[in-house]
Amino acid sequence: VPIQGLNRGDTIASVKSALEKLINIYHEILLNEIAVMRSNTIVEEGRDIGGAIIYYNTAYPLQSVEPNASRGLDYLLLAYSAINGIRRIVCGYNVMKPIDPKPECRIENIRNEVVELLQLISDLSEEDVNKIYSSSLESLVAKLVITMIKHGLLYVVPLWAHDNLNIVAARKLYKLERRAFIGDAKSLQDLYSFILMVKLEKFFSEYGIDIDTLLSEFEKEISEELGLGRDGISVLGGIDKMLFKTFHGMLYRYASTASALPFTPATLESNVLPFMIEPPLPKSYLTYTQEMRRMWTLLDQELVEAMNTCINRIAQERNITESNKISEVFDVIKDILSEVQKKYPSLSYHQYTYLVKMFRACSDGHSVLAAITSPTGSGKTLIFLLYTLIKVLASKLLGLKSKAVVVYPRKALARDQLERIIELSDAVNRVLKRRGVGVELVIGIRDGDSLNIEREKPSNFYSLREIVVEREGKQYKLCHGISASRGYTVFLAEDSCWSSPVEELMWLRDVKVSRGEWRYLAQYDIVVTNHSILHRLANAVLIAKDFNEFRDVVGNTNIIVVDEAHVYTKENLEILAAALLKLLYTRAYIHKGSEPATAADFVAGLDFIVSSATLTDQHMISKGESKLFTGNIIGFFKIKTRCSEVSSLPPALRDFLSSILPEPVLSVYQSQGVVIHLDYDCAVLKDLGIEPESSSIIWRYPYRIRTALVVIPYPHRNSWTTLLEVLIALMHWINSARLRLENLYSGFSKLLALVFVDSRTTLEDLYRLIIRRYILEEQEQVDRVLLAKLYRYNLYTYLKENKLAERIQATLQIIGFISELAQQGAVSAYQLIYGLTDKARAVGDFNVVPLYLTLSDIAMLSRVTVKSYDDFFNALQSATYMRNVVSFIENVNRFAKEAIDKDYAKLLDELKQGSLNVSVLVHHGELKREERTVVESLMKGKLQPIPHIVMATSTLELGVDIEHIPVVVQYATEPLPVELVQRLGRSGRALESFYVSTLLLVLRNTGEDLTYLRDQEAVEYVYNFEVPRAASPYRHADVMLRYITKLYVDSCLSNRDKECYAEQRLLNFIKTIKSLGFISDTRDVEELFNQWLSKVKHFYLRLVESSLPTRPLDKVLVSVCEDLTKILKMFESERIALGAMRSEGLRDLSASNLEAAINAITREISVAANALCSSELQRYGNPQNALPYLRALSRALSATIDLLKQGKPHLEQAVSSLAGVMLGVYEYVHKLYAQYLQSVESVRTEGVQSVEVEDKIREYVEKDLHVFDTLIPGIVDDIGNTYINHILIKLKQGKASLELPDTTYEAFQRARPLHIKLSE
Amino acid sequence: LSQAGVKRLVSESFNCAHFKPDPRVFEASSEKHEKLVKFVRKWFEDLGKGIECVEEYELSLGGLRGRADVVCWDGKEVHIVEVKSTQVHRARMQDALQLMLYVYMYSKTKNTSLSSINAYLAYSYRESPYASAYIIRVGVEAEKTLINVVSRLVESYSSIRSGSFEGKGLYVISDLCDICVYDKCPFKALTGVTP
Repeated sequence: VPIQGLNRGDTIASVKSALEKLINIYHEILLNEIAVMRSNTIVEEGRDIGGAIIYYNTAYPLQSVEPNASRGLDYLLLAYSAINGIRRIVCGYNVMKPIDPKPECRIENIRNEVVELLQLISDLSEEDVNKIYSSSLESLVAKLVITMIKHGLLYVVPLWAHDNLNIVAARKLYKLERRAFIGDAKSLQDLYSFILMVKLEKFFSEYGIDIDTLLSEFEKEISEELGLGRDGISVLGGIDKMLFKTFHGMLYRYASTASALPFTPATLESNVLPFMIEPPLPKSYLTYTQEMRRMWTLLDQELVEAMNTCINRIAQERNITESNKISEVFDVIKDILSEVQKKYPSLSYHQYTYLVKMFRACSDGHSVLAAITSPTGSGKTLIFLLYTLIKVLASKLLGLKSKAVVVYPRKALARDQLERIIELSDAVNRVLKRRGVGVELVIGIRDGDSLNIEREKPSNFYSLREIVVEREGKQYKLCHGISASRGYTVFLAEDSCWSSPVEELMWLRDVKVSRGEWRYLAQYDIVVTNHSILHRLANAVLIAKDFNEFRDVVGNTNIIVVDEAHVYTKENLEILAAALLKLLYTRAYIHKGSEPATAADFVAGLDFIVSSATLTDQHMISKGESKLFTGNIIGFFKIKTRCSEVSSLPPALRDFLSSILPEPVLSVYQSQGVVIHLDYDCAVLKDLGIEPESSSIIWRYPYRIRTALVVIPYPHRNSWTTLLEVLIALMHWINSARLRLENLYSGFSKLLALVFVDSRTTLEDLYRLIIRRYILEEQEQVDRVLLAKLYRYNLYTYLKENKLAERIQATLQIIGFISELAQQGAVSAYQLIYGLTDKARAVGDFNVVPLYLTLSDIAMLSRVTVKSYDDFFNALQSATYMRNVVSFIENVNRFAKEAIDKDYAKLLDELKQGSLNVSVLVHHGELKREERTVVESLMKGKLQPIPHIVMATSTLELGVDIEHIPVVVQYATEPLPVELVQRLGRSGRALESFYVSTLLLVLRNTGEDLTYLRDQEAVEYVYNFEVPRAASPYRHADVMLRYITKLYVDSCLSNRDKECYAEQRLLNFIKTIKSLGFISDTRDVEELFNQWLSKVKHFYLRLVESSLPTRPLDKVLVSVCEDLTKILKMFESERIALGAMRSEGLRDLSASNLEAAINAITREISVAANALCSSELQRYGNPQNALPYLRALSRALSATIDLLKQGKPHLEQAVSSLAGVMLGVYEYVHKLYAQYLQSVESVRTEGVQSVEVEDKIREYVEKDLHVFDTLIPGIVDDIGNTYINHILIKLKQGKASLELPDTTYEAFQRARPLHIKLSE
Repeated sequence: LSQAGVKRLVSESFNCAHFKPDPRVFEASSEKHEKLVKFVRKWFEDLGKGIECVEEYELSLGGLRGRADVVCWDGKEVHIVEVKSTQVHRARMQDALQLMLYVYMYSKTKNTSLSSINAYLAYSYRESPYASAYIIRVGVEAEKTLINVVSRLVESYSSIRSGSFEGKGLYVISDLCDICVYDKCPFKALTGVTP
């Protein structure tokens, strides 16, 4: 039963709509709670700053306080928020002044809304139902609040923070004396409370609400609820001591005070950042009725007409005059539009206007530069895809060659995006088939995950990226593979890809081949790929003997789409820019048959479309040379009121475009007036039919909300500790939410949190820590207060003996601590749990129990006077959810025990089988694809149990569309703001996650993270307001050259014997881009290239000819390798013995641990032995390639020493042998390095002092600096020094190769310092 | 600031230059205002015997001029009241600043210690037969903070007016203000404000 109202036969739609309304009210409460937590004020006034509306602290700077997540709303503020939330959806309010009762709203309408809502969400008897029809609004509000508390959306808490804004208390300061209300405002806060009090009075009186009645009705209702008399709530300190927090506010509170023990805080403080309100996404408001918005559709005359003229124009330009043919094409297109309309019955104004503008430009004979920027999920794909499909198809039907390339920024294309592309292409091809046109639109997907058809055996069929295709309401699996009879095939199947095909989709391809790859691409009408493949294609084309070979791939490309543009940064941006430049150059060459002569040649007949979710945010708070001070801002509303028809490109977008296209090429589009960009924040208002006035915008729609909390670690604690403590509190929060909110809606029982840790090694360490230690503290957080007695002996069995003693000691301390507190004076269980006396504060700070307490529990606990620990324990035992808490803790512990030391794949298997029902999982790029799929399926709820927390590297940043993620945790400020926005965007996507995105940013207490202690920096970072300074490759000759010189190394150095024609090609290319002014660097790009070329030739030839002096060192390595073999044998016999024990069933836990340890050691040694003893390294020894293996050996050695310490004396021999080997390898590396560096340095500088070289070696080797790239003089840096270490080449059989074997790559990954990304 | 009165100084100090002054700060004197002033005056006079009150009490300090709505003396202490006849829900924190400028000016010109001056804000109560006003006494803690702010305001105002201005910049107290962050920002040199 997802919602109680369903019992009475309510439809799911009405229940969902009731929930949506409830969430609106919840949002209003949350926004005001954030304002109170942030600056002890509420959302009163907004000011339009152009890019958004900002809500600010009206009392600033006279009243300015530090953020405090323990603050909450008093009952008057809560009731105000709830009523205003209802008013917003019933009548709308002015977002510039939400507290203003204008525009009026009929009381009856508000009342009816509450009555309807109460019927659906509360457990009312028939008698109650009749009663609420005649209840006053004051009483209805009280009932609504209590219902929300019962469902776990709101919490009653005590006055934790003494400065908490408290209007209920402030009212008591005023007395009527001789016809004047007279009162003392002792502090400025009192004065502010007075101002707010009168504003609220005004607000309430407009709705016929009397404040005294409002308060007394609540007192009455809650006393009834608690089964207490009229003064029942006096046990809780009275209504002026009661505060309310939202369920999100509780997370903020507990993340801020996360700690495992009394007096040992893990967090110093936290900063509640301003909220960000965003309009709902089109996908939710497109369902609104005509009354709520104007509708636009694909078949609107204006759009269809523009398409028709576009088709005519294409025909006209290619001298096609048969009007029959042209109108036939138009008929097909209209048919396709009708088909697509079935799926997309209504377009947003944004989508519609883009399409009209783009097709109109086509009608005028122009190609366009379209920049589509709008939030994730707002329907960008439909815009560019429909335009692309129709234009490419029209050309094809007219017998012309035309191709589109859609480029994505990730190695593996996101499934959700592919699904949309396939869905639309499918619609197009079905129409073509139905009409018997005899033409298909061929779509080719190509990325690293494409099926390698050269390696595939026939009759092996696979799911095509888990994509599902719909046919007449039924869903089919999309499969592909090699069929014995038909070759490569894509088909739909019912259940599994082994069942017989339901339908073959000849128009779809998802393959890769090693030879003739580009010929494959030539067959596709639309290529969907990533920047790496594009880069490879561009390189292959640029140095092709004959450009014409690529006519069908590059020459006919008429549309290039760069989707998810904001993801390109640093190297990826450079790769994309270089690839595009090379492609546009060769495309122009093919068209002209000679060197392109103007910038316009590069983009003749080319539509260039960029699509992005976040390239517009940055300048929201910046105004020219200054920016808004964030200290007095409590929130943002992301809409634009001042919009002009002709919108100029936002600076961030302009920056991006001039980073991927040369300035003169951009100017070509600009001079033709075909740069199309619409401001989404304006378009939304148009869509909703809102006409803003200067001081009033009436809003009667839902919100989406983004919130963020910055958690600052305690200075002396490791920030890992802080993160893990926060995660423990978070697990309890998720668990309590699942428990309590499930009654409201089953969707809430799936809640899970996503945690991002950028470095995989850190992630793995943190994961191990949380499993080994912190999960056991999961128990402690509750246990040390509540259940110490219950779990003292039976849950520590896995812990090592010394740890066990330590914990029992700690537990006893807690018991003693509480007993002592109890004996010191009368203290209630309630006061202890909430930390309400000075002494009890220590208890209050380290437990998360209040998350699980219901109203009646609170009443019960407040009546229990604690005289001993046992009193306390017994009282807690009788709380409503304690049984569930106990079983949760047991389950978490069971999971932790299973997870420790278990192979991850096995653990996932076990989860799939359903033997565990709580989990914390990891997701990163090094997992196998199947493992990642299982984790994703668990997250989505396709498999059970849904994990409580998933910790990931950037792998879950994009393309994972899960509705039930309410929170994202980010550890450290590693990601760029645009990436962080993406991550935050994973949460709060749907009703299941309350339409609230919540970020917990846990800082490290070192380095750059300290910058974000400052509010201004943190706000700019989290909301992506930092004005980017993109380093455009076009502004740096050396950067652009990097992608050309590399090509020279690849193609010419590896074919030294042959004549390298690529050299001339590259020179021509450079001359052209130089002469057209594409590179805006003062340095001469051609001269730089020539300088580099001569150095490389000189250096490389000398280096190779002199052949590295490795010979005399071989002996060292030979003896090392012999030793390694012996050591491996030693461990092998140990393994055999352990294996034998296993088969005889003689093993205990320690034996299995030992085996796991020995396996790990053997693995490390084998990796090192394979690499070090290979003839390759010995012949072409590059010492840097040996360094990581030295690390591997060192790890093996320390693991062996560990075993030795644990009483395995027979390993002593192994230890000393390993140490010997390590010295040998070290010596080898050092000497090799010395000789190597010497020869390199002497070539480079021709005469450097050997002492200097010696110093350098010492620095590199002894400081353990890992310089991964081979030394070769690169290009010059900004001040004219020649770079070394610039290009990564490993010598392989005398040739330069840029490919690293997997083992080396893995070793590098492990050896690299933390927080350094090893880019591809 | 050439013809600055107290209200003008408050309004300009509370708003950055590029914001239009909020009309609510400039309160037109009206019948309603007068009525409320009379009520407040009577209310204070009724506190006890020997209390004397005047309306529109003129104050000036270093070229800064203003009129306090009601000033009363009871022999020992002074009561200064700023009367706001705008609807009470339009009350703002700036009102207290204006009041405190009068208090400061009174204290300086009459050489009276701040501890013997009581400051009040009076607002009209919504239409009701049983009450006419809110009268809020600004307490010591609040007064301290406010006096600190207004003394700086007056100082910087005076020094600008006399041409002897040498400070880093005007004190701008604003509920919404920009900060300069770029080196080239022309405002930066003037305000010395760094984030």
